[in-house]
Amino acid sequence: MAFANVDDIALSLIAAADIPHNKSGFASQTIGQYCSLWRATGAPGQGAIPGAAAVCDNTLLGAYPLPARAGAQERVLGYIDTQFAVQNGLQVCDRLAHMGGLSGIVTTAQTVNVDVSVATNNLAARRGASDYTNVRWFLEWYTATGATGVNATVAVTYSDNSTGNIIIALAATVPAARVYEIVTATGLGIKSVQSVTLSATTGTAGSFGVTALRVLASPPAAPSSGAATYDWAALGAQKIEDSACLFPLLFVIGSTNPGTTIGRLKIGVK
Amino acid sequence: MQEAPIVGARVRVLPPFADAFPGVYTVTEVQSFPDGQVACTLSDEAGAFDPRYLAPEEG
Repeated sequence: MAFANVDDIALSLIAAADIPHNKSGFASQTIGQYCSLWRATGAPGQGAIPGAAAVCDNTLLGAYPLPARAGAQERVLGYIDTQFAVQNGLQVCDRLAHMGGLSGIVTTAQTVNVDVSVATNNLAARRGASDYTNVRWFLEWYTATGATGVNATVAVTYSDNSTGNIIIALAATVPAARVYEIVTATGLGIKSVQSVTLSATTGTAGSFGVTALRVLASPPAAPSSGAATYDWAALGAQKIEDSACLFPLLFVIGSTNPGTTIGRLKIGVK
Repeated sequence: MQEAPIVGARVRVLPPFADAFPGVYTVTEVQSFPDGQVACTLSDEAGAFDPRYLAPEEG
């Protein structure tokens, strides 16, 4: 049976188990930009650096555990509490697909081939709108690249099967966990990324990749420090699909060293 | 332009970066790396480019 009213949500949260969140931070981030906690240690555990392109699911280390559901039951993200030493915005995302192994010293096109138009691991439901506008794409850093600031051209295929190149200016010495959003000005959703080409060597290979995700909850940022709680209404009563690979993304606000974040989630099932 | 330009050279940017960097830029710094690669930093905060993505202004 699915959720029918607010009482159903409240009752489901009473029965829901705590899903712990206790993630270390990363240094040298950029205020006003995103920081991925996929590789942060803690709970959930540290996600692996991906290799070839793969569709993610809830069984990956690094994903919050998903409560079981049966038949017509649904899951709703109903509660988050967080405590920060410094101010951050916490987003809960479904990591749809990813790849890694791109190098900061290769100046020819590097193959990516991440495609979220496939049906693997329930992607058809997880990606949301059929025009791919709910899917967000990022370059994600796993180890720092070099001190030369370069540009990346990202070759993409849009929802209408047209193709394009999106240019991203990369700062000098991009640190681990930094993510750059691949922003399209066309208004079209992106369904796949074919390659990344750097305009010059950064001087250090490092390691980065391409990640496709869907932001499921983006509650208001906590105060400058302390704690914040968000209920089902603040979280948009977001439905959580089967196989969702839930992980946290930080929007860096208070410090270039976002520090540890602690808290818990509750996912109601009805 | 496979041969590295010198500081002060006027260059155009080639595909796949050309659309985002139209016009002519001045090379402000040329860095050589131990692996033999070269990065040419361009004016107007355009970032660094390998010589393969640059052409002389007159070209």
